[in-house]
Amino acid sequence: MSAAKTLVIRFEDWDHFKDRVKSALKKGKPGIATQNTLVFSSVSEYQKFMTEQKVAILAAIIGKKPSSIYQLAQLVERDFANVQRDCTALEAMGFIRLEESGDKKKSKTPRLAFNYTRIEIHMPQVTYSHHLGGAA
Amino acid sequence: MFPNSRALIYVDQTYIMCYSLRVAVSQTILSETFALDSRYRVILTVLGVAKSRKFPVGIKAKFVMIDVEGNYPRLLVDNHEPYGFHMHTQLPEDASVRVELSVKDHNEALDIFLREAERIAENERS
Repeated sequence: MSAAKTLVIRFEDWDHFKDRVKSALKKGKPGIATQNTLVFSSVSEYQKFMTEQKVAILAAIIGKKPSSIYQLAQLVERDFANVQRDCTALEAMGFIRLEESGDKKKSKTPRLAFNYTRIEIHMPQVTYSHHLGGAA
Repeated sequence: MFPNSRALIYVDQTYIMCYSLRVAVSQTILSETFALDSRYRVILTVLGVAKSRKFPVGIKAKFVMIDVEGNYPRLLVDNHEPYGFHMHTQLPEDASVRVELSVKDHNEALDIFLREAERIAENERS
C-alpha cells in the first residue's frame, strides 16, 4: 500500500526568506522549491487564505473528482461565481490546477497540483526561556 | 552552444531539436515560491542557460509577483535582450511598459524586485 501523499505548509518570515534567497543566490547554492511544499509568511496569512470553503473545495476535488467548476459548485452547494473565484485563488497559490477540459463550453477541470490526500501544516517552532538570574 | 540560434527558427525540425537540447542543458540556480500574504505570491526563478543573443550572460531570470485573487502577474522582473534586466510595472493592463533596471547582475535585480513586491503588498494593506 502506498503512503498517502502530503502537501506540506511551512511558514517563514518574509525578512528571513529575503535574506535566505539573496544569500543562496550570491553563494551560488541552488535553492529549489519542492512541489509538495508551500511556504506562507505567517500562520495568520495562511488562515486568512485557507477558508473553510476552500478546504471543502479541496476535499470535493479529492473525493468526487468533479469534471468542471460548475459540477464542483454543485458538490459544495455554493454559487458558481464564488467557487470559481476560490478555485482561481487556489490555483494561483499552487494548491490546484485548472485544466482545459476540451469541451465546447471551454470549461475547466479542477485537479490537485499533485496527487496529495492531506495537508500537513508545520507550525513555526516557538522557543522561549525564563532567565532566572545568575547563581548566588 | 547555439550562437546562431535565431537562424535555426527557419529550419523547423532542427530548431525544435536544438531547442529541446537547450532546455535540457539549462541549470536551475534558484527556484523558490513564497506566499507573501493571502493576496500575493512571489515566484523566483533563475536558470543558467546557454549564452545566446537573447541571453548574452547565460542567465535567464524571472521574478514574478502573482495577484492570487485573479491569478495574474502584478509585477515582473526578467532579463532578455534588447532590454537587459527590466521591470514590468503596469501589469496586467499593459505588458509593454518596461522600466529598464541599471543593475550589474541578477542579485541586484532580485533585490529591487523584492523591495518593490514588499511595497505593493504593504500599500494594499494600508
